Amino acid sequence: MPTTEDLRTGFWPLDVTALALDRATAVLSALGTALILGVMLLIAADVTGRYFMGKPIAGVPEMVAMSILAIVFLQIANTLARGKLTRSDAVLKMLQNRVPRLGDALDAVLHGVGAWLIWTLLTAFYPLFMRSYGRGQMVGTVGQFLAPIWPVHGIVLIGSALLFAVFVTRSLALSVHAVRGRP
Amino acid sequence: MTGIEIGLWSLAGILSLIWLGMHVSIALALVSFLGIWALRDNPQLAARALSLATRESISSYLFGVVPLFVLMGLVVSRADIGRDTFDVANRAFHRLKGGLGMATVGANAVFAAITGISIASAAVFAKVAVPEMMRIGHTGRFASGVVAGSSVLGMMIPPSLLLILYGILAEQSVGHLFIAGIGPGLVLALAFCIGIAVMVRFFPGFTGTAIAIPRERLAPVSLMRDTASKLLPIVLLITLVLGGIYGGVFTPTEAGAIGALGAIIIALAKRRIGARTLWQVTLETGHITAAICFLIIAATMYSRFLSLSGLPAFMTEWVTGRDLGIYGFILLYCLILIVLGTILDSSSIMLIALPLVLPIAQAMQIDLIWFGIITVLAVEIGLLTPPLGLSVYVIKGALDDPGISLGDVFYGAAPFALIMVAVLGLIIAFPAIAIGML
Repeated sequence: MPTTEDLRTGFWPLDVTALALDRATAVLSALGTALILGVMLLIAADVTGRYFMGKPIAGVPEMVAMSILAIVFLQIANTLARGKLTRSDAVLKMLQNRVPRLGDALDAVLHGVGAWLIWTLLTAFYPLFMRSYGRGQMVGTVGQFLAPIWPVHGIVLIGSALLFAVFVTRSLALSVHAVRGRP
Repeated sequence: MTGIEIGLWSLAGILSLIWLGMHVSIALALVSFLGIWALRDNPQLAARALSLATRESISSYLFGVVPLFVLMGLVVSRADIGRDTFDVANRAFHRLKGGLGMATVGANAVFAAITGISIASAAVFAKVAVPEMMRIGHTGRFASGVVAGSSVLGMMIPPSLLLILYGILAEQSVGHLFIAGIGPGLVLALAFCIGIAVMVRFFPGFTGTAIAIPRERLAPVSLMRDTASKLLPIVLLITLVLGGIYGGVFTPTEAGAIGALGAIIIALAKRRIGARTLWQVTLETGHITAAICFLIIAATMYSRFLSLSGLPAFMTEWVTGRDLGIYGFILLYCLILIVLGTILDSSSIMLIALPLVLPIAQAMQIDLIWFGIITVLAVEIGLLTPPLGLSVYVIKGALDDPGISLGDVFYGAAPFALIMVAVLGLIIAFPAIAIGML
């Protein structure tokens, strides 16, 4: 499946935007990658603390639960930009080999639909973020571990916004290929 | 349109959109969105369902297992631990006729106990075992078929990503599912070995004739030391992860973290990976995690939409009214899974099928752990069958040998797919193979 580099159109404003987006998603994705290692070390420290020092770390389940949502939305835009979001491409590949422009046109439409759906998610999730931010919603139990949930919801918003942007630029790049034909 | 009609149309819609190449998660969420809109005549409500599924469905402690076991699996496959198991297994089996094939199966079974992804096993053993088997005279078809067949052990023997996925979707204990996967995994490995012995003996045209090649002789002491240094880390990891879960010391999430950390420490200590590789592997883990969790978000929304439509209840009534009986239902179900397996990938099949069939299985009072093992095995058969056998594509890609065509790998994998069908029948007939240890 094509990465951002594979989808270069030769139309520079689009290519530059796509590449800049690609870099932005890579930054977020690096944060998500670090968070995975962090979660692993956190759980390992909790287990060691519990069995060898009789001192577990408070709030590990809550922190892990929050981290998973954050990890997924830190990575999701980069996952699409690297062409790794799950799909079965047998028909698309067949089309792209035989009638390349039709294949690109179909793929452009599929990415356009993705953009529309993520836009819907973005507008529907914004009120949820505003509520958790405005009311200062917390997770955990009082007296043991408490953390605000809005930063994670903020990451969901940022991640979805980038995912939307990647869907749009890919759809545009594929449309250009469909109209002009690949070089 | 009634809710049930909307539900049926949505199924047709999802299957054709995925077939056309739409991202699976987008297809599931889109059709559910439109479905809820049609059922309730209210687009705001549908959008709200989408945002709630995003907020609620994956944010739980249990989901820690996904990145942690993926990370562990990727680290061990990058750290050449697969080659180590193959070397050791080869020493154990080399006297037998077809021993190299059996060694591949045995090494895969052991390797499967520290990795949860069939694709990882397929890529590793395509590079390690296929050239070796062809060197002593086996055909390319047979060699790649053995690797394709035994790679499915990765998903059956715990830890297994598909069992985790089933546990999440069916709300069953991942720990119990892992333990239930051990028996069927071992039976499958044994059946593959018997199959290889039979093929080598009676179908030499298919397997090629192996000629004994004099082996490098090591002094017994250094041989033992080498075997120990290759085997010990693997035994340690298996004991930590499976022993920890089975003994009730660790939750599956904790076992995942300890396993991943242990694999990293072993790989670093053996100087098999450096900081850069570790970062790449973790990044890859992130991509896989994001893709899978995004699928789960979409699947949660889809299953909420389905229960709104009333289709699962209707199907439950219909199936129980047909007097199929438990075995009739399970056979029909397996048949549908195998057919779906020829066009869709394993996780998508489970996400689409389970919300529909789980209520039926529950109404028939089928043990849901046993049902999970059956589901994963039936879905895995699809990894070996054309046109979309994922394992076969991975092996073809990893081999990079123009002498072996995609068709050759499919042809070579066919006997193993048949053996899987036989083992599936065995597990259906004798549930104790799976749930006897619980």
